Amino acid sequence: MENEARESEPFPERKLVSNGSAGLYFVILVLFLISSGSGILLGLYYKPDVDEAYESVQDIVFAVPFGRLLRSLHYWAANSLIICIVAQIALMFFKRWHQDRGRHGWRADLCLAVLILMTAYTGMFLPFDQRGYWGTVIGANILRSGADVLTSLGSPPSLNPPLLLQGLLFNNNEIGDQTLARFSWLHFLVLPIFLGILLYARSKMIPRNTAIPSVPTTTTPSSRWPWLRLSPMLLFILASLLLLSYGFEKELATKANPQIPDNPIRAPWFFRPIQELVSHSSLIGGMILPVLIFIFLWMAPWIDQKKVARKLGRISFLSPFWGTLAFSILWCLFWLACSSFVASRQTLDSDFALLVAHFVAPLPVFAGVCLIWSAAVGFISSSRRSGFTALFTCLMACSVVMIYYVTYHRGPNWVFFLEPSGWEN
Amino acid sequence: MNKSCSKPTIVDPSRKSGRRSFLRLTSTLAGLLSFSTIGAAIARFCLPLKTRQLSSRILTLGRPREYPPGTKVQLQEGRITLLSTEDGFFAVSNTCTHLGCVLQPKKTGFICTCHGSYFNDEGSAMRGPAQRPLSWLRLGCWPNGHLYVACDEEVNTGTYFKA
Repeated sequence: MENEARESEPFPERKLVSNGSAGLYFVILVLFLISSGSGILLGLYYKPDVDEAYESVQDIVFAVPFGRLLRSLHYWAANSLIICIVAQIALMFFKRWHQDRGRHGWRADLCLAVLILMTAYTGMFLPFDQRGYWGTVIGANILRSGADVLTSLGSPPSLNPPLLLQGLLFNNNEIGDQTLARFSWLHFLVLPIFLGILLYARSKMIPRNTAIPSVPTTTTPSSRWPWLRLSPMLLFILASLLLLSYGFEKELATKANPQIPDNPIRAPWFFRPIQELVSHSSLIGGMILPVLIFIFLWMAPWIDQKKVARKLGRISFLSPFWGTLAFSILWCLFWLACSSFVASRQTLDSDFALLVAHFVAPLPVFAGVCLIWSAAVGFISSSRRSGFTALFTCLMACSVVMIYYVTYHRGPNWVFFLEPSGWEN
Repeated sequence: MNKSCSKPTIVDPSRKSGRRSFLRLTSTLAGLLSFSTIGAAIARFCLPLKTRQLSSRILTLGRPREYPPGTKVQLQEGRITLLSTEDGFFAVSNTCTHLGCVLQPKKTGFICTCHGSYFNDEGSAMRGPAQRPLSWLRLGCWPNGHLYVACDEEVNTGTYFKA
């Protein structure tokens, strides 16, 4: 099959196929270097010890010269890194760079995203503040909920991946010294090494003939010093990050209190979709859906191939991107409203609206409707590619809606508020 | 050159030489075995040590008459609540069965500030994402008349302790 396709396509055209997946790659590389550099410096003062961690971060913020700026720089570089890797994945999908030859780069990007999120998660615990402590407790228990299901299905502890992962990452049920030791080790050394190796490997997966600066070509004289040409970009990124960290300093939160969690306690923005999902069901929202989403993304280049995608006709209101965007925003908001409505009532009365809300509120219904919509889009436009575009758009749009919802509509005790001013007074 | 020296035999790749295939098989097996042993040792090293408590942590409280029916006392830095009712005493764990946050007591029941689960005084999950009820802990009485609660020993829900 593949050979036929290669032969049918004339060679020069093949060579001109452009894959711009390197555009953001360089930014990601620079951000990785900046966050590593600032992290190395922060490590000079940080003490990974439950009793001293918070105080050492306090020292960095209040006593060490430029410590506050450096910590903010680390924070902003890491946040930009997450934005860039998500943007990279979205770009690769929508521009179809993940198909055929781009599939290795696409999968490397998915691994990068997972590693970056893990680094962010372990880093969140290091200052031992409220958000980090309770985030870690909740993370350990999410794995626990998956482990409990497998145990009830009769799997022994040695063949229970969530349980093993929980043991490996958190070391114990009690979040304390041992967890901090492992998390700091992961955050300082293990994960950055994997990230570095993967970033290097990723640079080799960029097709040669693209107009990108990071892969040197010898044809033009100006590319003899490709890194020199990049230095303005590097300086620009560094300068804007420095400005950002100077203008918006990362505040030091209150110290972790194992007795009382903050009310409400919100995850950092990139974990808010998961936090919202988990507040409906820990098993489905915290374990099953993320794993399914990862499998879907991983398989995307395999299922969603150029050869398969064909268009027979298109109905305009079911445009895979814009139609799905509108639909998924509306559906996500409607579903969140329904589930909040159910949660605010203690008993079921015969009210019709409440009855509807009860049937609509469960998490599988939410995911199922997204799937059915995407399948319908793919079926009606008789293009597998359109269906996949719809599903991917749904995923992205729902994540953004959930980030917005958790930020502005979840108040104390995780209750729905129409606007943030509602819970302040 | 000595002609009596045996000629190098041409090994036919299709023909399986008994000794070679045997050596290949055994060396592969030995390699797999040694690597898996090392891997298992590394895995075992990474997994946490089991800490088994020989005896349950016991928390001694006051005399039963110090807690008239209707009282609700927070113990163990808020991780356990002792309730006194007409039926007797009981102690519920205050760790949310959803994802492990510490519950905050309300006038009646407990609320989880993390994801909004609500439990009634008996520890049943009323609303929110939590499914399982809070665990009840074993209560007892010392010979000197003081109540105690065994912090790590669960009892069936509905086991009231009558002093």
